[in-house]
Amino acid sequence: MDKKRTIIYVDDDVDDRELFKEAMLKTDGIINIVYANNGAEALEIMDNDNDLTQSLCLIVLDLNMPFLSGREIFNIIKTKDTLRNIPVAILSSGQNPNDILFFKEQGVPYFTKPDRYSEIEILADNLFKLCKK
Amino acid sequence: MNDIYDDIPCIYFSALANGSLINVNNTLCNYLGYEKSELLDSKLEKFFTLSTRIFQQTHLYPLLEIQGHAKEIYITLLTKNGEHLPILINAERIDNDGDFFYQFAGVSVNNRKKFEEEIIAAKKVAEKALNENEVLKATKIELEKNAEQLDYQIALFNNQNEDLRQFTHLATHTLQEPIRKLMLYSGESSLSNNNEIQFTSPQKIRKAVEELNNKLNGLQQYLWLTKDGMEIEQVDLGKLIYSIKQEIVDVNPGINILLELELMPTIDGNKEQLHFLITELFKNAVKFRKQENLVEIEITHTSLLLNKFKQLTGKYKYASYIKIEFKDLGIGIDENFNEQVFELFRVLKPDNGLGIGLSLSKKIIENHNGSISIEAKKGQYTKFVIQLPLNQ
Repeated sequence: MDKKRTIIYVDDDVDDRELFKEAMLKTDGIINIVYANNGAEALEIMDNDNDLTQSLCLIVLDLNMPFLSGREIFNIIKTKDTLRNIPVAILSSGQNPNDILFFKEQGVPYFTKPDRYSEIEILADNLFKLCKK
Repeated sequence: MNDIYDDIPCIYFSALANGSLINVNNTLCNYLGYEKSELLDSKLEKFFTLSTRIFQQTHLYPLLEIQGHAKEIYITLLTKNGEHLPILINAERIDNDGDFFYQFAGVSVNNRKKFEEEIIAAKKVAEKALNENEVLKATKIELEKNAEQLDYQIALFNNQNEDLRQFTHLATHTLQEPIRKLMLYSGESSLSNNNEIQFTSPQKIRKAVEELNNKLNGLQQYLWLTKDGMEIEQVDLGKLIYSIKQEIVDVNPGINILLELELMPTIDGNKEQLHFLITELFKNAVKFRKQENLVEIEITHTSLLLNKFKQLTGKYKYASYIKIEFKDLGIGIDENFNEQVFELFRVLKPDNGLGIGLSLSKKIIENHNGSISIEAKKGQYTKFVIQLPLNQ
């Protein structure tokens, strides 16, 4: 039985979380979404909830957040045995070439936050595919 | 003449008022290179240099006529070879039953003259060094002034750089968010479950536009808050704090503010900016209070001397500062992320304001050549530590 059906979405933007939820609901699979406002909160959740961590199929990170940036969270995740093998995707409105290059080198998919509804569906499909891999 | 006088280690000669020599001792003859007999038939002028002769007529003899003696007179004698021999003499006018004659005794001061010359030369060197030292001192003062100016300019430059950094972040991030949302909301929505074309509710668009507007206004405030043309006056901090506390109480009915405040000094500053700064600290304390109806604030201060040079290392000039500690016993924040509170539009908790107050506060402090930092413990307190110069 494939239990890995949970995505954790780390973003401080309330509107974006709503959109994300809407989009993921459109996908066929039953996906459980956990939200975190920032990196510290996300790490706290993942460090303390073993069952949840076990069920994670994808970690989706925004980049520009208070406390820890998405890149800092990514680096921390890669130091943790329990988390380092969970796939990560970046979902950011930023187009910073340094960030894009960094995640390309790390083999991490980098998605730009959509500015059209039609793109949201494509995005949701892509994230869903990452989760099923 | 007695043998003793002849060979004692000083010169002796005597002469009549007309200059005819009466007696000379051997020591003088040896010094001058004459035989005694060559001198005894002559006059004083034979071994007086021209300048000594003039001096003799204009000073020495008149002095002897009036005082009867002259002491430590410096004259120059002329040797047979034409060399000059510096001599220090004492002279006396002797009354021999109405016949007057003059006695002279002296010592050669050849070496002393050398020493004197050396002293004069050394003195000249010292004077030159002193002059150069003064030039150096003036240069040093000038340099120090320039260093202060440079330090100030670097600070200004850094502040402007910081503004630019904040602005860049704003243009590439903060403003992009609401714009992207606007694009999203203003397009047609195909997410409805049936196939009808749907549009996002106008409220959502309104919210995004407001966000954009707020952020642009915030940026404007931030960029306008510069040092240029900032008026400085005497600000009574205690009075200011009490009046702000009252303003905060007035707009937050039902919330008690328990304020512990030490006697505060008066400092140089811009009253409007300092008012804004302290108001922000109060607002922050209210926003992050632990209890529903109570805000506890302690304000203490100490005076200290701090280096005025903030940018240049190895440069020191101490000035009086006041260190103010503004502590609220609220929910605190995680100490790892303390400094982020000063970043423009950095909202550490979602839906909690615009994230501009503390970055403006920091800019105000910088406009006053001071510094602000935060010390906090999660769940316990937040403390802002402010250092401001007493005089601008």
